[in-house]
Amino acid sequence: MKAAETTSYRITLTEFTIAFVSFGLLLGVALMAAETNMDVGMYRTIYSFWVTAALVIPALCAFVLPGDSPRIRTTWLLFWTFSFLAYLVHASYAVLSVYHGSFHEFLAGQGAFPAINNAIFTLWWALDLALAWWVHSGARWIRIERVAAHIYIGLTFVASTLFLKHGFVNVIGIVLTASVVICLMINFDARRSVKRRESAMAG
Amino acid sequence: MIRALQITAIAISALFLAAVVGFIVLEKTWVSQEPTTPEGYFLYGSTGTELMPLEVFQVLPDLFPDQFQPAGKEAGDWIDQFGFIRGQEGVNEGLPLGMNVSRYRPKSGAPSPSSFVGFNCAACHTAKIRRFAGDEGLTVYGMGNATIDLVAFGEAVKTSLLDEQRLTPDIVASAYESKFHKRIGPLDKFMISLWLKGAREQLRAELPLRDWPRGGPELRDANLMTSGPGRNQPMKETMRFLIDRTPFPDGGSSQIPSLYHQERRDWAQYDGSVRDPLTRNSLAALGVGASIYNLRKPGILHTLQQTYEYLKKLEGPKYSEVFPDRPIDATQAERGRNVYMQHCGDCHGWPSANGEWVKGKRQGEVVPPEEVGTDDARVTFRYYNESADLIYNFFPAGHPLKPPREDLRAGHGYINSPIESSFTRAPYLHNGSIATLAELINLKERRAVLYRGANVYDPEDLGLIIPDKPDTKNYFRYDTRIYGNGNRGHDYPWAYKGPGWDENALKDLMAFLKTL
Repeated sequence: MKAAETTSYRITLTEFTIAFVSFGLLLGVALMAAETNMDVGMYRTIYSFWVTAALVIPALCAFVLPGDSPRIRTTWLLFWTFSFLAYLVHASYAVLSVYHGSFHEFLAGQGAFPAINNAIFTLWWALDLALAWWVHSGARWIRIERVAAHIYIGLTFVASTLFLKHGFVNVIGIVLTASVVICLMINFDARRSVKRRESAMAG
Repeated sequence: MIRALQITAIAISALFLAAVVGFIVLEKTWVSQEPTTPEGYFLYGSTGTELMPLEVFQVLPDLFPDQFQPAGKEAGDWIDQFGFIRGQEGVNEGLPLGMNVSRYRPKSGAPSPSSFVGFNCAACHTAKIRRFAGDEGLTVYGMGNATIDLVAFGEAVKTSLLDEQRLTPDIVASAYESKFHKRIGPLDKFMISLWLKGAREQLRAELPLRDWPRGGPELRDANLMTSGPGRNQPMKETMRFLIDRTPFPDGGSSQIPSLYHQERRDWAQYDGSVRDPLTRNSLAALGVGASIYNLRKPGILHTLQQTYEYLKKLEGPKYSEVFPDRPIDATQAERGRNVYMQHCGDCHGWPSANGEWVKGKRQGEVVPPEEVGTDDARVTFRYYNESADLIYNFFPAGHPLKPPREDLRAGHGYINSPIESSFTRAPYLHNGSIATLAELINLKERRAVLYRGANVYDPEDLGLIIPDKPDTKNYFRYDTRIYGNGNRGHDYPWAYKGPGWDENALKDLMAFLKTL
């Protein structure tokens, strides 16, 4: 896992293209697709969440996959960033359109615990991204912060796409969960191979 | 080459995203056109009750004559048969008064590329005084419309929308093209499909609450459609949107009131249960299809606010203006003033010499039905005691229309209100059970059965001319013995031919009432 980096990222045009085109096209289509509903604001909130969940899959996978290649690192950073931007669009529509910018409505509509959870989720993700872009240090606290952030944010996505919401989002949830689980298995397998090699060499 | 392709892909994605953002900014301008005066808002503003796309509305009565002309084609078009006030050709798409055209999507208030038709306050609170049979009538803004059969109209609309064989986007497009010799654009047709699917889903979801809508001849059957012209069922509808339940007993039907000089009324509704005028307006809009969400859209909120501004100082017409050929005997009216001051002024107030309304001692007081003696269904329906809390809790905290809790109450009676332009308030009492002022003050005996519809005005008895039997224009059999329809009580100055009854004094009082 690339819990923290000590050097800045070298983003290639190819990597940026893949991430940005995915983000631009998916988000644009999501915002326009909402026009096919009577409650446009509500559906922009829903569809932009779908886009967020779809874009976070490569980020979580890249984070979990073994190895430390620059390609995996930048893939993680770009998708982690663009999924957060999509999430900000989702959150803005939720706050301004569904809850009409009213803190009372937000609290009443979500319930106290989910509202607090959402606030922590947003702030933590933003903090982690800020650290990723601007703090190139291998400090232990950053490594712990990053792993914890991915566990928390990843589990929140799994919970909301698989259990808390219903419909097409469950398909995204299944793909997300399956992808992360496969990447984790690849990671564990790679670690086991390394350990086996090390013990063979020691033997 | 690959690099160029990548840059092109990035540029296309960025342009697409920018175009989407531009579209989102631009779509807000679809709904930016608003009326410029309070009267404009009253007549043409949206109260968030968008019913259906304009193109559908323009052909629906042609597609369903069985629903929209239930008395047969010879009895007039849907505007006549449901008692709307006909608009002008070329103004507001030629729609009846109180039907507005907006670019809001139903319920959400999101901007729409197509126009939608909805109701606003003017539909129920604009009326015609027909002075003789065949009279085009004098249009009065703010006057309760005694002819509009809104509940039956709603049922006709719902029955039509639920007919999947006779109503499809293609059928609408074809009917529109035949009628107007132009095609519905693809975007409008798309919106029609979208709306129709959503409207049908909503109607089906509400069937357990409302049952299958009535249609055809049933719309003119007073046993089935108990509301009839000039009335609605506000308490039933209010409870439905507040708690998703149909109350039983349901409070009966209420007369659509006239809305002159609203600034003289501290508490609104027949039972004086709502102090905040905007809450009152929003409850009316919610009952006709607005939603808690779209009422906060600035354009819709402005309509509620500006409509109140308009109604605050709206003058009702004077009898002498409407019937200039029927001079009021000044001496008799002066004698009648004395009767009024002795028996009516305390509760209703009176006009001073400078035209201001002087508040009576008991004006604004809520009088229990046991004292005034009128039908109590309106203030004893199920959930009545909880209604103030239910309304308060319905509006989320922070909603611009959430009233202070102290502005809501269950009045448990009927409020004493000023009676400016009293001759235009017919029929009388909260349920419209008394056809004329002569009957209300017990100069004449009250009728047990009224035939209501497009009644001609009675300038002698001040009210509606009621035929002896129903006809196509006056079709609704109003039976005062049915739940909520009672015409008893309010025996002021005296009960009919009871102790103290003075026919001459009552005739004098009639003359004075003409001057209000």
